[in-house]
Amino acid sequence: MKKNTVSFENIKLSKDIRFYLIIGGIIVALLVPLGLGPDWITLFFLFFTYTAMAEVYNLLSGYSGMLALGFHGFVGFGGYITAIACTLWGLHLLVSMFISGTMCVLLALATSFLIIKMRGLYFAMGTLVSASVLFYWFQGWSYVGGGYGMPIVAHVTVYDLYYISLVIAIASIFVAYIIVQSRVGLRLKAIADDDIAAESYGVDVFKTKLLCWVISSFFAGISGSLYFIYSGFISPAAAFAFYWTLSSITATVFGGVRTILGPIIGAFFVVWLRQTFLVEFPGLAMLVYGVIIVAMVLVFPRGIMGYVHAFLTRRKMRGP
Amino acid sequence: MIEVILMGIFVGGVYGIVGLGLSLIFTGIRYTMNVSHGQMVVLGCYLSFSTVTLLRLDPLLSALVVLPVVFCIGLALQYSLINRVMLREPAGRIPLILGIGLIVENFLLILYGPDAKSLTPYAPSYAGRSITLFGISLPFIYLIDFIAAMAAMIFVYIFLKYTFIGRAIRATSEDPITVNLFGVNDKRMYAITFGIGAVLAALGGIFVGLTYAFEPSYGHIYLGMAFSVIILGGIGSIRGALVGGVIVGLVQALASYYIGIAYAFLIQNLITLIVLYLKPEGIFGYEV
Repeated sequence: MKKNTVSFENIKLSKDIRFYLIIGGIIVALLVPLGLGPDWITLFFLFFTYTAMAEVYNLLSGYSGMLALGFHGFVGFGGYITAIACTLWGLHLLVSMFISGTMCVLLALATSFLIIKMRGLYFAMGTLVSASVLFYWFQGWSYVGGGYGMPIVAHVTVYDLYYISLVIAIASIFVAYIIVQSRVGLRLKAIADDDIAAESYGVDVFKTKLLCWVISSFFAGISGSLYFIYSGFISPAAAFAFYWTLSSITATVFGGVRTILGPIIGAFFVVWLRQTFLVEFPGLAMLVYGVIIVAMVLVFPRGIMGYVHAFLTRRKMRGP
Repeated sequence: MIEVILMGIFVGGVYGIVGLGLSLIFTGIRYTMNVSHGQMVVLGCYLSFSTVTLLRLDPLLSALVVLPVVFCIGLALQYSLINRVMLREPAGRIPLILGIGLIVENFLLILYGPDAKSLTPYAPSYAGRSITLFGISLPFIYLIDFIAAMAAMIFVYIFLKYTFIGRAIRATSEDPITVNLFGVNDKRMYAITFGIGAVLAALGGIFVGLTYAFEPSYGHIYLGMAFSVIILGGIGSIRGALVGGVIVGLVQALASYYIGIAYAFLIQNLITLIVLYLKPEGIFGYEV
């Protein structure tokens, strides 16, 4: 019993520290654009966008164990809907982003009966094939420029995008945290461990998976639309690139699967690699992604945060 | 019209051997989905390209160099890397294989550059020619594709059915623990299976390179093809791989003839998705 009280106090203390850290971090993030140049702003904008993607990818494929190889389908779909709403219909940026998120949710709901019924490998390959279907659909659709793609005209600066992406990233982290801490998170972990056993204990597997699927589709779509507004041009090959799934997997595996902080660290690393190598040596960055995935899976299967957690609990066990 | 159908069927044989490799790995290595299979195809293309340009061999003869190399690469990959995650559930092994595919693809990208290449100019004696049979004119290479694909499938059938290693592979796919009691090391069998699967992919790659152009980034297209093949034909069956390959080739040829190449892939993927949902075990189903 004594041990319980000690750890309880520890948690309370660490929660306080965490609270101040989060508030401090947000204030710093809000003030950053005042002092830094556009290069840094771009880096941080990409960091926030990738964070939102990696966080929901971790929610979908880490916590609930549904390995979504077709994650890039949502990213590209969101980007395209924004391009259509923003450029072709001339709507406001925020409105078109909201429309793209909503359309992604509708797409997720429409495909849910087809895809969520699939389990394990079939889910992975089913989502991959669905993303290919989307890719070839947009490639043949002349309204959005077919295979050549189309420009996105949105009158924003990178500073506006910075603040929007900051909000999106915080929202995605918050949503993931809420879900993981609530009962739904427990159900997700149970499903990931053994979905048949979870179902026999009364967990509604379909509804729980559907919640994850819809939430991740929403944030993936919004992140996709943010990225393609920034890049100013969208084409099927860029929008539905397998790169989006790969970078999300790299970020999650590097930072730590099934942790909230892990994908954030991983996303920063992925963006840093991207900004350093992807423009000048396009092959090298992806080669490093591959090496990281292989090395982390084989040598550090729990990622950075997994080992940080293990280190902290070991210190806590040892006592003051 | 009849040319289109024949070309579809003939090139479908090549898709069939690529799919057969994926199917063999899936059934032989305890439901491991080799998501780097497309990269193995492209690796075969590029290794053949290097052999042809460096040793001045014929592309078909380059198989004698390429296939052993790819076999060793596949063997080493499974033995040193993938065997370590065999205790995880099938979907948990995918990130590792994904990373391997990423390394292979970008290694090729750094080495050869992003431009499209083709093996056709190195085989002018047969690759550029057409052949006329019963009033039907076909590119000669499609006929070679189909004959080679049939030969490879018959070879794999005989290998799995009658040789010791083939029977050991089939036994391992059924029960990897019990085979150890009979003196068969399951991990070694997994490695050999992966090597053979990679060899089939690379063999398909050589013929694909003789028929079409290729780039380092085309791996995902061939993974999609191979996946369609095994879903349509059925996982774990040689006959099914041939049927699936022919269906994919036919759908591709007919759809690109009538509607357009972008819609050909769209229709192929849609059919795959529908079959995956309605009848995931495919047309022929589970039989090794």
